[in-house]
Amino acid sequence: MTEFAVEAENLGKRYLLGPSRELGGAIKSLARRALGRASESDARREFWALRDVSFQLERGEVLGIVGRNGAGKSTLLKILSRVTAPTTGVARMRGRVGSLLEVGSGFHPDLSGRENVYLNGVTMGLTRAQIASHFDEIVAFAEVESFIDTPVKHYSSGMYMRLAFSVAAHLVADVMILDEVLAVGDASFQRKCLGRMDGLTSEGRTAILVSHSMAAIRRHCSRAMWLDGGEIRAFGATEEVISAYLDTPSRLETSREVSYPLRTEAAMQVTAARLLPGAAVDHDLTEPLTFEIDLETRRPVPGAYVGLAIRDPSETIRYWTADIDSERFHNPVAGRQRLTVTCPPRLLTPGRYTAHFAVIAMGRPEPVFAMQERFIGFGVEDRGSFLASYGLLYPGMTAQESHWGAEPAPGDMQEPARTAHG
Amino acid sequence: MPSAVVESRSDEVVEIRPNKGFVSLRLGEFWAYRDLLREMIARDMLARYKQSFLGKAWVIVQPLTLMTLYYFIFGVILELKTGVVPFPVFLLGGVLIWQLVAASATNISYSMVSNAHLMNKVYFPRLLIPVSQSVAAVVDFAFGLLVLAGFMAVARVALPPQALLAPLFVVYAIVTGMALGLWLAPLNVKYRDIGQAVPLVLQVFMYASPVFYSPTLVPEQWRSLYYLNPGAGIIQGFRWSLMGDVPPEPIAWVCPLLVAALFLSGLYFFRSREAELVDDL
Ligand SMILES: Nc1ncnc2c1ncn2[C@@H]1O[C@H](COP(=O)(O)OP(=O)(O)O)[C@@H](O)[C@H]1O
Repeated sequence: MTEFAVEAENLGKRYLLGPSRELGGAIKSLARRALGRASESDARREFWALRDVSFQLERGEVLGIVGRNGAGKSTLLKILSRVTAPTTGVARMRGRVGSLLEVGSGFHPDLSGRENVYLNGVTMGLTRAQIASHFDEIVAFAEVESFIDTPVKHYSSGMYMRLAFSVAAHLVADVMILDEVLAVGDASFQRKCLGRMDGLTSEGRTAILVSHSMAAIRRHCSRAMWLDGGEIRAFGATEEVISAYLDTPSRLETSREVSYPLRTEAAMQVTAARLLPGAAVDHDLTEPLTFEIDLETRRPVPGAYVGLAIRDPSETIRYWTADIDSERFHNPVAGRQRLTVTCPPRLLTPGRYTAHFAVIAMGRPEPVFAMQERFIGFGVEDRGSFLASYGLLYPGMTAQESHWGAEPAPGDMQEPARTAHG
Repeated sequence: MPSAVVESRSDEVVEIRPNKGFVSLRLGEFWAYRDLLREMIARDMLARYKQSFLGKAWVIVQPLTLMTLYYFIFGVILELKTGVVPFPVFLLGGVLIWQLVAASATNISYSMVSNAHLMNKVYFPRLLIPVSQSVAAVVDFAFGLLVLAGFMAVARVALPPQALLAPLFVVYAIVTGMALGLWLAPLNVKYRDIGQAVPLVLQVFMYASPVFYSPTLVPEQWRSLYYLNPGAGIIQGFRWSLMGDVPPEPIAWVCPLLVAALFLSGLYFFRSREAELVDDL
C-alpha cells in the first residue's frame, strides 16, 4: 500500500449567518433572549457549506474538483490550506503544503517587483535564502527583468500576473493546492505554466486543483471530485466524474447577479453585474437582453473597453460585445459608473448560458480585469416565436431572423408580379 | 523553464482539526515564520514611507505638532504648571509614550480587516500581524525618542540615575498596547461597530492619563484611584525615569499585573479565534 498524501475524514464546515455583525445588535438580542423574548432574527441561522467530506489521495495523484458556484469547492481548499478551520472532521496532509488560492495575493502596489517577490515568496512559505537563490530565474520566467525595481502599480496586469505566477511556480511543496490559477496571462504564458504544471506532477507531486475549465481538469487530473451542495456527489476517474457532472442540467444555476471581489491593484474592474431588474432569469428569446454593469475606474486606462461574453455550457463563446465607441470609452474618467448593455433580441437559441464580464485594454493581449469563475447564469426560452407556437424547439446557434424574398423564377409561365398591373 | 525548483520534501504530517478546546500558543511556529514577519514589517514601513508626501519625516511631525498644540493650549493659554521639567520636554515625553500605546492598540485592532485579503489566501500564524504592527509603533517611537533627546539636550534636562529603568516603562507601554489590540482585533472582525468605538475609548483613556498635565494636579484624595489607570503609571513612570519628574504613586505597581493578565488572556483569546477569523472577513 502506498502512503497517503492527503486524507480527509468527515470534514465539515458550518457558517453562521446572522444578525450579530454589530456588538450593539448582539447585546440587544442577548438581552431579549435572556428575557425570553427572542425574535426570529435573533437566531443565527447556520449553514453547512461542506458536510461529511472524506477522501484519500496517494502521493503523486492530481485531484480535480468540479462543481457549480457555491458547491463548497473554495471552502474545501481553504480548509486544506489552513486558511480557515473545519467545524467537524480531520484532515491530514503529509509534507509541506503550498497553496495558491489566488495569484498575486498579497502583492502590495506601492512596493517594487523585487520587494514583492520577497514578500510573496515568504508569504507562501519560502525562506529569504531560497528566494534569493532563485530570484533571477523567477524574474526571467516572468519576463519582467527591466521593470523589477518599478512599483508594481505601474505594471500592466499581464506583467503583474506573470510575476505573481512565476513566484508561485517556484514554490514546490509536497502537496500543491491550486484554485483556478491556470487562467492567467496570455496564451503563450499559459502554455508555459501548463508545461510547468505537467513537470511538477510527473515528478510525483500531489496536487489538488479547482477549475471551471473541464479541459484543464481532463489534462491534469488523474482523479476528480464533484462537489454538490457541500457534499461529494461523485469521486473517481476523471472522465467519469466529468461526464456525470456535465450531464446534470442543474450545473448552471441561475443567478441574476454577480459581484466580484475588489482588486485595488487593478486600474479598472467590474464590481458587479446583473440582469436588468425586473427581467426574467429565463429570458424570452424574442425580447432584448439587458445587463447592468457596475464599473469602477481607479485610474482611467486609455483604450480600455468593457467586454461581455456569453458562453454556452461547453464554454464556447456564443456572443461577444464591448463598449468600444461609447462615450465612456472615448472619455474614460475615474470613479464608479453603471453601464447598461442591451443585446438585440433573437441572439441565442433556447438553452443555458453564462454571461462573463471583463475589462480589456487595446493592444494588450491580457485583460486588465477578468474573473472567469464568476458569472451570471441565465436561461433562454422560446415563448413567443413562430416555432414555439407549434411546440417545436428552436434549432441552431442563433435565432436571428433573415429577410426572405420571393419572386417568380425567370421564364416562368405566369406573368411576373412586378408587371401585373400592365 | 526553471530548471531547479525550491526543494522542500518532508514527511511530517500536519493535522487539521476543528479549533476547539484548549488552544496552544504555538510560539515555536512563530520562529518558523520569522522571514515572513520580517517581510511584513518591511512592507508596512516601506509602504507607509513611500505613500506619504513627507515620507519618513512624518513619524516626528505628528508628535511635534501635538506637542506644539498642547503647549499653546495648556502652557500658554491655561498656564498649567509642570514642576521640575520644562513644559515642552514634559509634553513630548508624554505624547511619545502615549502614542506608543495608542498607535499599537488602534493599528492592531484594525489590522485584521486591512490584511483580510492576505489572510483569505494563505496560512500563516495570524499573530504575526499584531506583532508586526507593534514593531512598527516601536520604530516610530524610536525616531521620536531621538527628537526628545535633542529637546532634552537643549533644555539641559539631565538623565537621572533611574534612567536605566526607562526601558521597563517602554516595554510596559508596548505590552499594554498589544494587550488591548489582541482583544480588540478579533472583536472588531466579528462586530464592526467596535472599530468606531476604539478611537473614542482611547481618547477617554488619554484624558484620564497625564499626557499634557502633571498628575500632581489631580486632587490628593483621588490620586490612588487615578493611578489605577495603567496609562497614568506608564506615562508618569516614563517621565520619572527619563527626566526626573515626580514618580508614580506606589499603587501604580498593581497595574502591571492587570496588564499582564490582560495580555496573556488576550493572547489566548486571539489564538482561539484566529483559525476562523477569515469566516467573518
Ligand atoms: N465566510 C463565509 N460566511 C458565510 N457563508 C460563506 C462564507 N464563505 C462561503 N460561504 C458560503 O458557503 C457556500 C460554499 O461556498 P464556496 O466554498 O465559495 O463555493 P464554491 O467555491 O464551490 O463556489 C456558498 O453558499 C457561500 O455563500
